[in-house]
Amino acid sequence: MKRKLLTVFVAVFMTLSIISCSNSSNDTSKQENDSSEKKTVSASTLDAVKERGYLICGVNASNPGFSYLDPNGNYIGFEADMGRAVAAAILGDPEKIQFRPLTSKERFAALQSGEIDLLIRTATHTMTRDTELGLNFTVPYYYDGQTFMVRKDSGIKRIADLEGAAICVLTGSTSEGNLSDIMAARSLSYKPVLFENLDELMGAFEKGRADAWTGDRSGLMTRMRNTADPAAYTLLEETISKEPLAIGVRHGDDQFYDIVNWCLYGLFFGEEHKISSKNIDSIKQSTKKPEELAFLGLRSDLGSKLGLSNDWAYNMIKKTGNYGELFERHFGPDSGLSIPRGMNKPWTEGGLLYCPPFR
Amino acid sequence: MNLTKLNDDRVLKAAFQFVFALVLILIFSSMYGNTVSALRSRGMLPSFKFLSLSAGIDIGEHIIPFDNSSSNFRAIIVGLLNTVSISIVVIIVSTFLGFIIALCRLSKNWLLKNIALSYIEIIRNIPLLVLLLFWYRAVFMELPRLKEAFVIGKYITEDGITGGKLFISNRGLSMFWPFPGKGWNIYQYILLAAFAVAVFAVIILRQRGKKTGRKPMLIFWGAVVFTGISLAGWFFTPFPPLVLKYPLLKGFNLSGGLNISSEWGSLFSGLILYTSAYIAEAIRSGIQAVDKGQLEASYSLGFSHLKTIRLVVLPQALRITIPPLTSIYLGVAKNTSLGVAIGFPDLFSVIGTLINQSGRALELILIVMVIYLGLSLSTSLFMNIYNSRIQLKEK
Repeated sequence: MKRKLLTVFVAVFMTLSIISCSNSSNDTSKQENDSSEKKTVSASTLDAVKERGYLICGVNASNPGFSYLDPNGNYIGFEADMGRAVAAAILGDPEKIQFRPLTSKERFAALQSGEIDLLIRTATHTMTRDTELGLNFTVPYYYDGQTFMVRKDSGIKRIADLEGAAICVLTGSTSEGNLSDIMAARSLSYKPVLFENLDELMGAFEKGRADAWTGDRSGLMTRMRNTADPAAYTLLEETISKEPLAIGVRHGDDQFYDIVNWCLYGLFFGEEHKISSKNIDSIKQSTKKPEELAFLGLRSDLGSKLGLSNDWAYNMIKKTGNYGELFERHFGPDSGLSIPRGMNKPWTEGGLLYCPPFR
Repeated sequence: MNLTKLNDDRVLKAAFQFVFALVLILIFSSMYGNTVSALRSRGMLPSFKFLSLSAGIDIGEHIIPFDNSSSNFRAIIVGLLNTVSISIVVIIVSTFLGFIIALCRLSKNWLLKNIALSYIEIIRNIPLLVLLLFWYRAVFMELPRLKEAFVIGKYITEDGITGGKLFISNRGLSMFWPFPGKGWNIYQYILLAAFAVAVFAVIILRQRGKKTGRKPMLIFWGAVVFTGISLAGWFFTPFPPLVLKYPLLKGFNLSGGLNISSEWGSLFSGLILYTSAYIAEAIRSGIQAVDKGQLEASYSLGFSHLKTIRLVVLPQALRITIPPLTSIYLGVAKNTSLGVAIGFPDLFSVIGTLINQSGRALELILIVMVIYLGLSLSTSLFMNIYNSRIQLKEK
């Protein structure tokens, strides 16, 4: 009898303590939430990064050229280096960065939830993503477009030839939607074959399971080179979509958005003004151009206006290189990919890379 | 405080349960509140409005019509139907197969017994995903390309198009198949009538059987009545109710006829191999759990071996087998989600695509969880009802 009484008392006591705890913790956590919201979500990703000592960047782990994990555990690629450039600008060291491999399904949720600071993972800037998902997209760092890979001997020359074809797509991109839209617009029938995994897709495509493979031109180019017989395939001339790939950051943190945006502009500026990692020190000594002086932090305090040190752009270019160097390193002939620059050239050379003045 | 009341066992029990329920409610409500406030602060509050918007995608295999302008909701239904239909087919086929394997495993024939044993042991020790990839990569993808397809009953039409009764290629199997023709509208009523008459006949036979004490072959006679009437009806309809359509090689793909894609085929083959091995073991354990005395009694009453199995062993074994079978069946619906690895557009694959197109990850994951939960619960509900019906009712 006594033991039963004891149990009841213990149970009641526990409940009461839980009620009181949860009440008080609710109140305090609400206040904490409110203040921490301002701290982490709305106001200062920058402070969080500085306090943490490194940047957390969401990337792809298996997209050669853009970003992939090499056998030594390093992330290699154009996008990975772009993340390093931002780390160099903020923290002065391109290696103060931690990469999070993300699938395309996970990527936006990871950014929304605050697991990563910025997302550089071939994310196409679309209106829905910009508005509905609570994200901001920077200026595009790569202008891509969707097209089709076909066998040369299939006789397919244009999209119109694809009537009735089986077309394979890697799931998790804007590709499925674009494909569906273009085929509906042209009243072409087709059969989509969707794969989650690149290896399965390539195996099936090479065996002839599908007549065409659709995806972003850059991605198809790099993957064509990985097929058993690259000479047997070709890409169609037509491009069915605009794919401006941009860096994603969270809505509501204007400062961090500005920083990432201006990092990209800095990379563009470097190429436009032919300031590279190799000659930046000599240019720093010799240049008389006001804009370059401002860019390098010698004349005005552009960096501190972003909340960074004034040599942010110097650090970035010196340690990772300008846009042209990054492109050359990961997509150029030496990389084994030889992706043409296309629209991804400075405006001075007829491309779309254009940065506002550094003043 | 009235101590006598507090010492009452019933009061104590009720009080304890009340307190426990209260604690649970508190924990869950605080979790809920926390989640909602966290989601709100990140601008991720769930909203299901997107379900009625156009999905803007295509799905390779769909039972109900689906195109670019169909809604997200419809896309989910298409995925669900793909999952459910393949699950049902797999459950039926692998139950048959598993039953036969179980009988082989228990047979006195050394060869049969050991073939069944090694089949069960090998298949049960291979992960399902490996089986699926094996079927897809090593079997279906190794079939000839469509242009060099293996064709049975090949013919060339006047327009120079190749047709045939059966095409086997790495795009799957295409075969001739009856489709509703001009006379179908009338014929479907004849079928309905035939079915009604057959049911009526079975009921009458059953009542007569109860009177005479003999067991008439109900299903057999029902089937005879049904086929008889429907065959007779066939000749009375002015137009052929069903028309055979042959697959034709037009352009890049086959059109017409019934097409079973390599993806469906691989998923089906992998799943029945895997599931039947488990079902065989469940059935074997059920059969072996039947007391040996039952068999001996049956033999000494003069029952033949087949009758002993059918009338004595199986009814008792079935009762024991139902609970483990239920969990195997539950597994099948969930296992179909591995089809995503080989490009089969099941529920999970469609949801993945929608997550990408709409960015509504949280909502869609919630939906897919609810759907799988619903599938599992309804399967187990169905099996539980069946189970309680066939259990021994002790009087």
